[in-house]
Amino acid sequence: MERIRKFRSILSSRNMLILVAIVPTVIFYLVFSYGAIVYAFYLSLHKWTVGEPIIFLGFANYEKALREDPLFYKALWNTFYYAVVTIPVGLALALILAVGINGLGRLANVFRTIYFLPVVSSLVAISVVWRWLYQPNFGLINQVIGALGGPRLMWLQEPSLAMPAVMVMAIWHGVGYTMVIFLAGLQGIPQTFYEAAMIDGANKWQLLKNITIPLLMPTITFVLVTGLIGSLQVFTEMYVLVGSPGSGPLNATRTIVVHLYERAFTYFQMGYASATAFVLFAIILVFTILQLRLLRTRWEY
Amino acid sequence: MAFRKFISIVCLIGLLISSLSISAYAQKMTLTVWDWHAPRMNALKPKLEAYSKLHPEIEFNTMLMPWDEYWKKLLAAAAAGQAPADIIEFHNAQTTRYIQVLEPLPESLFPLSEMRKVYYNFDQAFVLWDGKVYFLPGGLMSSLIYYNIDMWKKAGLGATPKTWEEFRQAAKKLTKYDDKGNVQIAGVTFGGYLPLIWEDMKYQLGGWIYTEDGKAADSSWIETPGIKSLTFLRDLIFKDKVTQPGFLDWMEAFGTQKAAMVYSWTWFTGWVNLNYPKLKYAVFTLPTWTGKMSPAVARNNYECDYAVLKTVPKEKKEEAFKFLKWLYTQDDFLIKLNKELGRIPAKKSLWGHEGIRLDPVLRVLNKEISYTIFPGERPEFIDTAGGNLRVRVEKGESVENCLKAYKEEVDNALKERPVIWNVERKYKPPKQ
Amino acid sequence: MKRYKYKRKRINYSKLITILLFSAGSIIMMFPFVWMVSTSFKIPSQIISYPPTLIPKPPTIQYYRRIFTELKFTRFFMNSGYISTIVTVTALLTSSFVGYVFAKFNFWGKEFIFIMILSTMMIPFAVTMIPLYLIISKLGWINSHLALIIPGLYSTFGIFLMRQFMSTIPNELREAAIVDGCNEFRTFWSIILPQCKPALAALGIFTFMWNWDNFLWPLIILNSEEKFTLPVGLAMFSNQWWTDYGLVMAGATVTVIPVLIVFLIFQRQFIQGIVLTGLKM
Repeated sequence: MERIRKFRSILSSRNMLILVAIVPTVIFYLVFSYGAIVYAFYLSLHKWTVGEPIIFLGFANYEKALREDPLFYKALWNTFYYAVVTIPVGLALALILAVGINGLGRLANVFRTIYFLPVVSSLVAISVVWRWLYQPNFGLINQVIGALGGPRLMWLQEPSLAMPAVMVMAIWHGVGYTMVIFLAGLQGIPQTFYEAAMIDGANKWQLLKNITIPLLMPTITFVLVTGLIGSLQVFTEMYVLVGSPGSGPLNATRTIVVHLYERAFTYFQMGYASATAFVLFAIILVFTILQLRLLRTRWEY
Repeated sequence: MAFRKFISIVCLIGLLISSLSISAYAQKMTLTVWDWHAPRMNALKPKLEAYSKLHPEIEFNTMLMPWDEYWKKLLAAAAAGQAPADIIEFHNAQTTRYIQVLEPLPESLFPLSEMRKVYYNFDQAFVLWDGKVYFLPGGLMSSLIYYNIDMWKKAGLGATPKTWEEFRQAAKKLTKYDDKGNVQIAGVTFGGYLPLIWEDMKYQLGGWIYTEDGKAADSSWIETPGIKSLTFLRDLIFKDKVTQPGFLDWMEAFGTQKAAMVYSWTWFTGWVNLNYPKLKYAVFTLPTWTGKMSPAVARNNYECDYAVLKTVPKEKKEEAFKFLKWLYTQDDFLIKLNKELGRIPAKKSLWGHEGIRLDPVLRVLNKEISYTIFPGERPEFIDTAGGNLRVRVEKGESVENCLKAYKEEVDNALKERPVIWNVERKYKPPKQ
Repeated sequence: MKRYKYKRKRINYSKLITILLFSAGSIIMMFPFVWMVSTSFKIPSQIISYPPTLIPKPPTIQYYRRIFTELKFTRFFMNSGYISTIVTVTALLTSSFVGYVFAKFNFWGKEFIFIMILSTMMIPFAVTMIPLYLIISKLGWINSHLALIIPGLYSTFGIFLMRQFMSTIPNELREAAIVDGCNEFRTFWSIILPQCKPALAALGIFTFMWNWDNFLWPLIILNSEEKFTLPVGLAMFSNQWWTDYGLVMAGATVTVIPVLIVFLIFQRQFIQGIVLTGLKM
């Protein structure tokens, strides 16, 4: 009787539930995530391409990426350029917008919706529209600039302008999202803090600097970290806005993932591309840890 | 109860998903044809229908894909052992890289000795370094200058230019500016073809693309032939101002009558006829430095047509080749195709045909064709680097820098993957 | 009286400026959309005319006609639709199920497994996409929608979100249900899950939108037109027909407008969802 009861209890619905939930999940992640990483690492150690035998190379692919591939350097530089501009600018803009909107009562919802529209729109469609806006001869942007007496700029064809053009679109696309997150964070700050400070005679700037920003630190950290991880992997904007293959004039918009995609699916150098992907992975890890460390000191208040 | 509901939903979803993986069992064999060029696909479709009528068990599926994606998908899929298409339109520029995914034409259906009799210059143009043929011969294509007849007459120009200097003068006369001084109508605009005109002009001065062993770019790139040619082109843009950087894309410009002349390879004929059927245009042979065609005028390419992927299953491969053999007996299709694509047919028997003989573009092309050079394979990184050349030139960088950078890029790429099929130096100018 | 009037004036002034600024900003935010729609209805000569006009005179629907007949946009739409739906439903099911188990139960290796799953969020897609591609091709799923659905069965973010949410549901609820005689599964399905509606709604919306807009992976996997999803179809076709600006804008409009309409209807849930995810870290 004892045994049957024990057996039954093992087969209890509780245990079944846990089993049914967890086991397939673990298998899934083992195959599609961890298995994939291991396979990717294996690939990165070999020369793996079409019609050639697979040769073990050790870390030669990594060496090639870090020492001998000028396009990869360009990609690293471009990716950082993109991240270093879009994240702070986007963040600052979103913060200003959030603070501004916060005081507008019912109108705030209307504006919030409007500013959020670019976020929900398909990035591919947006890139296509902006590509049209940036068209040097008929695009609206140059028409407006021309009407104001300015020069006709080759936005997506000029090496020095291509990346800024992408960044403008990226900020336009993303600012609504960050703004909403900040709005939520702002609404979590008790009014009493502001009231107390105002009684003490603080002006608007001081309010912002000493109350708002410190109390928003967790939110700001979240935005910074996720923003960095995302922008280091930017691809679709380059590929669609600047046009296939995404590298742009004189490789001005060649980011790491653009470079990787080309190596993998145009030149079919799977081994080398995998090595590049791991370098990207390492960069993301390092910067995320750095960021979290730097910002953690500012968390509590 | 709830559990059952859950399980049933899971099963439903599982069923839906698995129904996706079960392909419909078909009695017919479907052959998929891929191409990137709409006019050619349109010319092919009636023949696909005709063949299906003759052989009801074969059905065709066609797919158009833009140039960039086309090659990526093919190579990626073929490397994975798959065949997304059975019959593909091939381009011999990609030979070294893609040859490993192509199936050689079977001797039984396409005996080499017979092919030599039927097709022009077969050995040099279509037989590869391993003695096999991988793609069907198409035709010979080169470049011409397309010009707008109305604008030409309005500018009071008479005979078409024979030298580059005459060409320059004509372009200047044809250019119109707006009140701000911007080019409104370009005398000539080259767009992305700038590096190709430069190449042709270089050939005219005795330069080459590759060194003799094909392992690097020839030194003539950065010597007089290269420098003189690029300086001329650069001056056209910046000194004579017949066009300006960032001018409308040359194809669109010519079609919408915003450019009086453009340089193009003769496939352009089909494009213009399709998109701007009302445009009145004509062509003339490339001008040269001396006015004479000797020693060479331009580059040519023996364009190929269809090929079959190696990874296609055996039965489909056989049927695909059989279809291709039939297709290449269809002279009406071949004539239409070659007219569309501005090619002198590789099939010699078609030359006497009225459609080819009297075609306005092919007639002009015929005048210069013997003075054009076939380099063999021309890998796409030369064009990618050429794109960078164009950006540099339009930015206003010095000719020496532009050419140095261009040559360096190509040299590096060739080091990684040298050109194996290099028949450039086999060219001999016709006897005077 | 005087003081009251003075205060009122002051507040209105700065608020007014803010409203004006935001309105100007709104125009910048909205204008690309307006221009996109406007161009899609213009005849070709009007598109490239100078000065540019906002309202097409006369409007034309030639591009839309072509999009839906010749260019197979209906197909793209349906593909995107049913793939996103299937993935969203399965992701909701698995996320809530797994999230519940992690939130309410203890078992051997629980912490370890949870961290193992969570840390996969750190892996950039670029690392796994190449081996995934090779695995998929060995399975013969290249150009099949299975390759888009199966890897999307589980949503790591979803598991995280649902666990966070479920841990705020008091344990008493579950205990009461068990005492009343439900088995564990019934408890989950009929008692706990209905409590999670806001989180489920948010997760559902996000997963759907993310899948709808997913570009890189379908770009790699899909080879034939009948299989393309909307973003891939739009990107390919806009590359091919680039100089036909009206046509391309019509394609973009068709891609964007339906989603915008859905958003406008469900915006409250949407925004709430973002707040949920942003704050519940």
